[in-house]
Amino acid sequence: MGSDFIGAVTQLATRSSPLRVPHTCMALLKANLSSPVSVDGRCALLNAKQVTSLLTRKTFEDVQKAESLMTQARSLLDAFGDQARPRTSNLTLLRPQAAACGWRSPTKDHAAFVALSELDVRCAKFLTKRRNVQCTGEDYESISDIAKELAAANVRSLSSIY
Amino acid sequence: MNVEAKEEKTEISCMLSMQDQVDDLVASGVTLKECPFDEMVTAAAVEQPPCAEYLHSIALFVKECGCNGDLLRELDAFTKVRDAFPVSPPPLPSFPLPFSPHAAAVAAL
Repeated sequence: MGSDFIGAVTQLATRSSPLRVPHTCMALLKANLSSPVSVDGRCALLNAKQVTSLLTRKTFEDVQKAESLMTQARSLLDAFGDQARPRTSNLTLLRPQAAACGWRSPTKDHAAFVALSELDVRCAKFLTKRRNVQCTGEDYESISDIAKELAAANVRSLSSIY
Repeated sequence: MNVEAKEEKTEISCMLSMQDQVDDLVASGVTLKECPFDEMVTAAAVEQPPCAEYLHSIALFVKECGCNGDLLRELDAFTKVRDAFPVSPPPLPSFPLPFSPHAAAVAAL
């Protein structure tokens, strides 16, 4: 990713204090790591300038909304107890299973983890205005739209419980 | 002849390595502010001399964004899952919710 990019994310973390945005910082790294674009072997979906721009007052309001959404998603899983929150220790065992299973989620932990990660990446790409890179079909105009899509994707699961 | 030697240690593994050291120190009673990040960077630079400057950025990131290592470990798992699933997964899959007797009752109807 490069020292410039990581330095910019660190700057976002320090300069946003006391309003902490740890999930946003990690989401930016995830988005860049999943980058379809690379220059000189480095992930180049996002650059330092785009990260620094998140500190402007107007954009930072969206950063806080995204942080809140990512925190709430994790709290939702926590509310269902240990069964729902993905355990990263289980994910490290997935490589051979994943290859065998194709798109299907090999475990419940994996499905929850992918959902959280996709949420993080979408928020990061929205905040940095990179959501349309390579026509991913991500058609949303606000953080609220991402939240609504997430909720819609989970209505079926919730309705089977209640 | 293949004369290119390639280092496979990634940025994330460097971060995790430093975070593990921080966790050990914190467990032994040292506060995060007292952790010797400069010494960690020096030790890491011995293994990777070309990355010496870069390691300072990584150490600073661990210091400011490490969050007890939970989010860093999540990031590490993310890279592994991305490796296992090289193409982007379907959009926002549902969260798997735990089994409920209500669900069984609904399914039985």
